[in-house]
Amino acid sequence: MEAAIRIEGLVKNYEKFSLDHINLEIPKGSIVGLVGANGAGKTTLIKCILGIIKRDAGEIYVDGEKLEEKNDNWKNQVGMVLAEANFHETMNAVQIGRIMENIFSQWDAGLYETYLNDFKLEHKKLIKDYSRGMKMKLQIAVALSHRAKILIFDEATSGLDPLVRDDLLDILLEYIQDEAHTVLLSSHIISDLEKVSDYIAFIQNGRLLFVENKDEILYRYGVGKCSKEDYSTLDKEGILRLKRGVLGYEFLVQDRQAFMRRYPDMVVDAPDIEDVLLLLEKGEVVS
Amino acid sequence: MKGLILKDIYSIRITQKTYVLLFLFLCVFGYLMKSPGYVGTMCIVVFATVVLSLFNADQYYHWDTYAAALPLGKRIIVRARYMLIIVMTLGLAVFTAIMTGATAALLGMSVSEQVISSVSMCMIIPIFSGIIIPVIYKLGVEKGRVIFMMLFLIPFLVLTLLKDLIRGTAVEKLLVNLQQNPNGQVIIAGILLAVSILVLAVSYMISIRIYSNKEF
Repeated sequence: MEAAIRIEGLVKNYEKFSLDHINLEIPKGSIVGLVGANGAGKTTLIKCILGIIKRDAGEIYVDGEKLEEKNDNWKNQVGMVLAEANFHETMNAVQIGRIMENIFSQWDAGLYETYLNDFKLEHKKLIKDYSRGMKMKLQIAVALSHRAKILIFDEATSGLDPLVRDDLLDILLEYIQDEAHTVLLSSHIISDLEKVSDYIAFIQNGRLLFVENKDEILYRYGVGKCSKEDYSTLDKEGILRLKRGVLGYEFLVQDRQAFMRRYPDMVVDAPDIEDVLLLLEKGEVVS
Repeated sequence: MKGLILKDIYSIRITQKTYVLLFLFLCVFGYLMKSPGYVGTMCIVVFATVVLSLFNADQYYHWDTYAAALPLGKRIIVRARYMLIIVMTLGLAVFTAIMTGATAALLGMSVSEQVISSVSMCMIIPIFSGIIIPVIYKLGVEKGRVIFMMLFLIPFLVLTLLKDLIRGTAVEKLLVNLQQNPNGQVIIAGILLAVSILVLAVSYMISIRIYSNKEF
């Protein structure tokens, strides 16, 4: 499948943190959920893609085109929602629209108006009087109104109530109906990613541990539970992580079906994404 | 670039009414003090405040982070800010000329002399901005505020020291001749204009270099 964004060997070094040779392909027409703990490198990765910070090594391709630092025209294709950056709150939605009309080459004022109405955002109300959810919706309205082919959301749903989060995720699902559209959604709210993502990319301490199809994760991976004594009898091959608890052990296997064939008496459940990611984040590495 | 200038104009408009009232007050004050050029002098202070508030707002709302991801380029972002400075300076110069001229006429003073003197003061705005802006880009708004205050104090100190140093020298004679020369004010205005253009040009190049390497 063609990649909307392709990242090869991306490195970004800070004093106490590094993005370590990230390789990531975001297939066109998909929603990729980027997940990791706070400080894992999600925002750093997104900022490298958007050119907000410079990469120390590696290449990024958007729609097959290699990104050069001096040419920013490709950003017309990208819509973004950044939780930490917002519009001047002394302005209103109409003014923001006029500003963006003079920035984006394919700005669609009619479409922007439609989104403002659909999202029930008051046109002349100052942004400082918007709720947090409304501010996010305004950013999304802007991101959707210049015919962007790629949407990048960085922690856009953080701090929002479940109803608003649900609205935003529905907007993404509608956006992705067009197969030419792609979404990269970074969040630590795993349930949001589970709802909408096609792929899950897990980043930990600046390293991309895996990128897997969400359904594959749910189908293939397994979470087993057993006592300490039973665990000691197991062949550790295929066990990715182990979490030692007071009442017993919990472990993550990469191939649930194969493991259950080897140990038919062992309890191995189909996980949800949160189970898998918690074990990857907090469990001991086994193999 | 138009979008960025528009953003700044919208940002300033919030306090527009306050500034209009302030300028009207300054005009009345200048009239009462029999000093029509007062408006020109105070324009510098007000303008510098506006520049600081623009940068402050950008910092507060993390606009630079968002702008870095827009299809603009960092050069355009810097260029837009300088273009705004130039346009605002010209606008202020016209406003100052009108207000000073009207005040001078009411006071029965020489309109042309007062207008030239007052508009000359506006030429200091680009010089001040040219010094403050790269400092803000490099060190942030707070340090820019400190430099802004120093820019007002240091010239006073320098002038006070220089006054005694040049007394009785050829430099003093030159300055006195210039003041007494009917075209002296025009010459001073021309010199200030040339210096302001030079300072702004150098400042722009420095700001481009600083901002291009900034990360957000």
